Order: sequence, then C-alpha cells, then structure tokens
Amino acid sequence: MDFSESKAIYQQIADYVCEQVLMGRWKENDRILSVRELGVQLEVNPNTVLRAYDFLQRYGIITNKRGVGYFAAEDAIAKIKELRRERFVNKELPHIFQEMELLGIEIGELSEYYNDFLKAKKDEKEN
Amino acid sequence: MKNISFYRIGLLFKRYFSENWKKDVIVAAIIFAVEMLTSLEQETSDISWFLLFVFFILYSGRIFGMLGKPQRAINYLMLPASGCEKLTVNLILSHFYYPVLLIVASCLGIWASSFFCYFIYDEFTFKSINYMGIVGSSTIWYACLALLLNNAIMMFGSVYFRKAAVIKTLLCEAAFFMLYAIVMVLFIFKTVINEMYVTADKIEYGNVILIVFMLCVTVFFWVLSYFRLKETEA
Amino acid sequence: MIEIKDMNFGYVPQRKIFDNLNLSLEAGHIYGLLGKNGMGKTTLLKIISGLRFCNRGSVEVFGQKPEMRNPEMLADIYFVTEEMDVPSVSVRDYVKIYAPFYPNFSETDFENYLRQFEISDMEQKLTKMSHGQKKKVLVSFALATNTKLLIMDEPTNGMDIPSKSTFRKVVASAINDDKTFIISTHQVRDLQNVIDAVIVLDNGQILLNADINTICDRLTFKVLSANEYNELSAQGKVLYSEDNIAGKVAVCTHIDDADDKFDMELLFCAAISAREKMHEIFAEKENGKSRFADEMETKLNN
Repeated sequence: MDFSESKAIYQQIADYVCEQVLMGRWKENDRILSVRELGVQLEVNPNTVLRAYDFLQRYGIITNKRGVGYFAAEDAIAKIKELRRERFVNKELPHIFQEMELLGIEIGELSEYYNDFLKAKKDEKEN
Repeated sequence: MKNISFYRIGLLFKRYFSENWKKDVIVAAIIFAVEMLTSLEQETSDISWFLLFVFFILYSGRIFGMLGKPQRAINYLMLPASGCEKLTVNLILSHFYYPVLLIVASCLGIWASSFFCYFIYDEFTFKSINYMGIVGSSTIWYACLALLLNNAIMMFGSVYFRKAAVIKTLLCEAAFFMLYAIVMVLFIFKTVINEMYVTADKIEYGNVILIVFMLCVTVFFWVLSYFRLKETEA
Repeated sequence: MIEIKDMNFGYVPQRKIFDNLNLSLEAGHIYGLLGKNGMGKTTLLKIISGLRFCNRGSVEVFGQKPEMRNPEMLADIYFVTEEMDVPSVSVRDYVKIYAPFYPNFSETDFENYLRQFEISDMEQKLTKMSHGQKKKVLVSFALATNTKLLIMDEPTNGMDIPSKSTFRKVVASAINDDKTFIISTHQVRDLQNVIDAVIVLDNGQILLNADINTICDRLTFKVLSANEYNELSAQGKVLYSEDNIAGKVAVCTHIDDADDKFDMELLFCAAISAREKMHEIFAEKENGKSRFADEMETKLNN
C-alpha cells in the first residue's frame, strides 16, 4: 500500500479494509485480520490500525466480538457504499463543482459525458 | 546479599568461556610447547616462572579491557548482573583460573618432555617437577603477591581510565612502585644507619609487614574498583 | 513507565546538554525520538538506560533509578546501539550466551525474526558479518528478549531497503501494552508509520511529546494554494510551510473538516522553527490522552 496520498494513515487503512470487502477477499460475516496481523502486513503501528478499525466500527462496517476478534458486518458492502456515497457528496463533489464553475461546464454537459461513459462500459461488457 | 545470584555468576562464567576458550587453548598450547622444549635436556625441571608471569600479566590485562571501547563498555554495563557479580567473576578468573591454567599447562609440558626423551634417548625417566623449588622460594611468593596487586591495580585502572587504559594504568603503577621502592630504600638505609646490624627476626618482621601491606593495598584497589564500577558511565 | 523530572545534564559543567528536562513515557507505544544532530538524543537514551548519570533532577524507569543498575531492572531493558561491538561467536552461540540473562527471551520469536530478515546461517560468526547483518541479528535478539523497555538508536542505519520493510513488520508485531519502544532516528520516512508517538528534543528540552492522534487533533498538514496560504497565514494559523510541486505544504493549527494527514518530517521542521507556538498548542493537558486511547488497551489484544 502506498501511504503517500494525502490522507491520514488510519483512513488509508480503513479504505484498504473496505476494498478487501468490496472485492470479496474478505467476506461479510467473516472474521477479518486482527489489529496486530494487519499492522504487521501493512507495516504500521497497531494503534493506528486500531484507530482505523474504530472508525469502521462506528460506521457499522465491522463489528467487534469481545475476545474473538473483528468481523465484517453482515451488511458491510451496503454500509461501505453508503459511506463512500457520503464522502463523495460531501468531499469530492464540491471539488468537481468548483472546477466546473471555473471552466464553465454546465450540469447538462456533465450528464452527457456520464451517459457516454455508461454506454462505453455496456459495450465493453457485450464484447 | 540480594545483589549476588549464583545463577547470574554462572552465566557470566559461561559468557567468558564461550567467547574466549579458543584463546585460552592457544595460550595453554604455547606454554606447553615452550616448557616441553626447554626441559628436554634436564633431569628435573623448574617451571619457568618468568614466562608464566609475563603471560599472566598480558593475559589478565585482557579481561580488564572490558570497558576499553565505548560500545564494549555499554554492552558490559547493560549486561543484567550486578557490579558485584561482574567483579567477582573477574576476580576468580584472574586469581584462580589463569594461574591454574598456566601452571597445569607448564606441568603437562614438562611431563610430556619425558615421553619425548624416551623417543630420543630410548630411555624413560619421568621428569619430576621441582616442587620444593616452587614452595621453598620466597621470591616466588613475593612475585605472586606482586601479581595479585598488579591485578587489582589493573582492574582499577580499567574501570577508572577510559582511553588508553592499559598504558595509563602501567604508568601509574610504575610511579607507584617507584615511590614504594624509594620508600623502602630510605627505610633500609635508615635502619642500616641506625642499627649497625640486622638480625634475622628483624628481617622476618619486615617481611610480614611487607606482605600484610601488599595484601591490604590489593584489597583496597578491589574495593575501590567496585565503587568506581558502580559509577562508571558509558 | 519512564518519568524524568527537571533533569540537568552536561558532559562539562559549562555546557549543559539538558536543562530542566521533563519527560513522561507510557507503556504500549512506539516513541520516535527526533532531534537535530548534537541535541543529545543518544545521551538521553543513555541516561534512561542508566549508562549516564544526570547532574540534577530525577530519572525513574519502572519506578526505579536506572543508575542503580539493579540486575532485575537491567534484565528488562535492552539497548541497541548505533555502532556495535560483537564477540567473535556464531549467532547460535550468541543466543546461548546472552539469552539466559533475559528471563522473557523467546527462542521462537528470535528464529521467526531472523527468518523474516532472511538470516538463515546460524553458524556464521558475528564478527564476520556486515554492519547491516549484525544489526539485523541484534535487532532480532533485542525484540526477542521481550524486555519492557527497548531502546534503539538509529536502528535502520545500514539496513538495505527490504530490511527496512522487515524492520517495520517485526517492530509492529512485537509491540504490546506492556512494552515501550524508543527509537531515535533521522530516517523519519523509514519509520513514520510504525511510530505512534513523537518526542522532539531541542535545545536541552523536550519540545514536543505527543501521540500522533493528539497531533492530528491539534495540527493540520495540508497542501495549500496561494490564496489559502495567504488567508491562513493572515490568521496566524500557519506554523511552517515549504514549497513543493503541488503548492505550499504547510503545518497549520487544527482546521476542522480537513483530512487528518500526518507527516513526521514536516512536524519536525514545524516544531523546531515555531517553538513558541508549538509549545502553546501542546501545553494544555492532553484531554484524556487522545480520542481513542481509552478503548485501545482492551482492543489491541483482539
């Protein structure tokens, strides 16, 4: 994992965990790596991993069964998407809007691009 | 004393032997060879004390080098054992182990020469060691005492001086003995002038004082080393 | 764990290295000790381990004075120095000789760490090894002693790139709530992610001693556009900034809603260039250590 992007390490770790769940490497309801194991794997301090797990727990993406360990929640994928949606709307959209305003891009133009994108993707799938 | 644990002393000995046994074997082998060669021609042999003393000084100087290099000093001081235990081990090594090692190597050398003689002259005579020469000679006893004192001073020097400890210690030691010699000469001179004749029991009396004095100074330096080691910084 | 109060020290009385230094360290953390050359990082480590005695003030480690060199206490401290003096014995013999001094030494751990550092030849003599190899063996040994206090002075010096990665892994796996690691380093980038608390030593005092969560609560590390920079510096919020391709990289007082990015090198530069402000920001008592500190203890074991 590359830690150079402009996010706190604990957030990057949280993203990493989400990615593992979304890609199906870690299944919902399954036990996930312990704080220490993930710390060793990512070469980060266990306390930082703990903070990431705490963050994920607050969003209901993972659960902590005392004495057993951490588990991916049964609706983890839905929760992750919800979290990402929230982040997209609150953090990334403002940047995009700012750029659109600067460059004079209309919202209608944007939906055109989006439709093109969806179409291209569909074509790709059919081939 | 709660600061002494025989377990840790054992560990310190183990540490010494594991790290130094090869050097010890080499030294013993050299002594063995020299004694064997020098006693080939003789019926009875004296242990060559001069050789032993030289080796003894060189050799015991080595274990006192434990604080010589800064890193080595850190390792030594951080070793989980009390200063008392560390000094006890040094004391036992330098006062019992080395002498025994050196003397045993010499004796073995002398006896081994008997077997060589058998091959050379075709006649087996077991070479006996001149024990009486050892025990009877007071010079050797004085030399031994001097060595003990030397050890104590070396120990103190190694703990006290940080850089070039051996040279500084030897210089101080030389100065100390010079002073001692001057005092003795003056003392003898005075005695000779005051009382024109010296009786045998007066010499005996003087000798006892000398021995007691040397022992006291030896103990004094060991105690001094103990307190100094407690305060040694790295 | 470690309490230093009003400690004074100087190799010569005229030149003080530490002037009324105060420092308090807790178990369960990996502390990064940062400081410019000649600020006395190594000296501080030596004072903590009882190799040097302070002139005034008090130093306590596990509630005892380190200068007493109590053997039980020494068995709970391990000091990996920057330069090493090793005996001429094999790795296997080294363990046989020195491990019994440390009651919590684990042979399994040691072998595991060595394997991770890719040192397989236990019969090789320590004196025949390169500096980096020796360091790997000694770091493995040090971690395997499981002492409560582990002090490492520039441990990654002389290690190759893969070993630095291994170093982070083994250190992250060895820390637990009973242990304290203090790592002094200039190689901030090597260790940034394994360190979870930072001590900055400057001009004879502790300029900063805080865990990273607290630092992120009180400071913001951000790339600023020219406008943002002007605005924030007008408000006196910029502690330190340097130019880079993306604009100005700056350390500011905490800005709400900003990402909690953290950069130790920037933090260090900010600390030594804006001492007063830094002191002000971290002077107030940390509110309950940090947001998560309370819950950490129980969870870390899961």
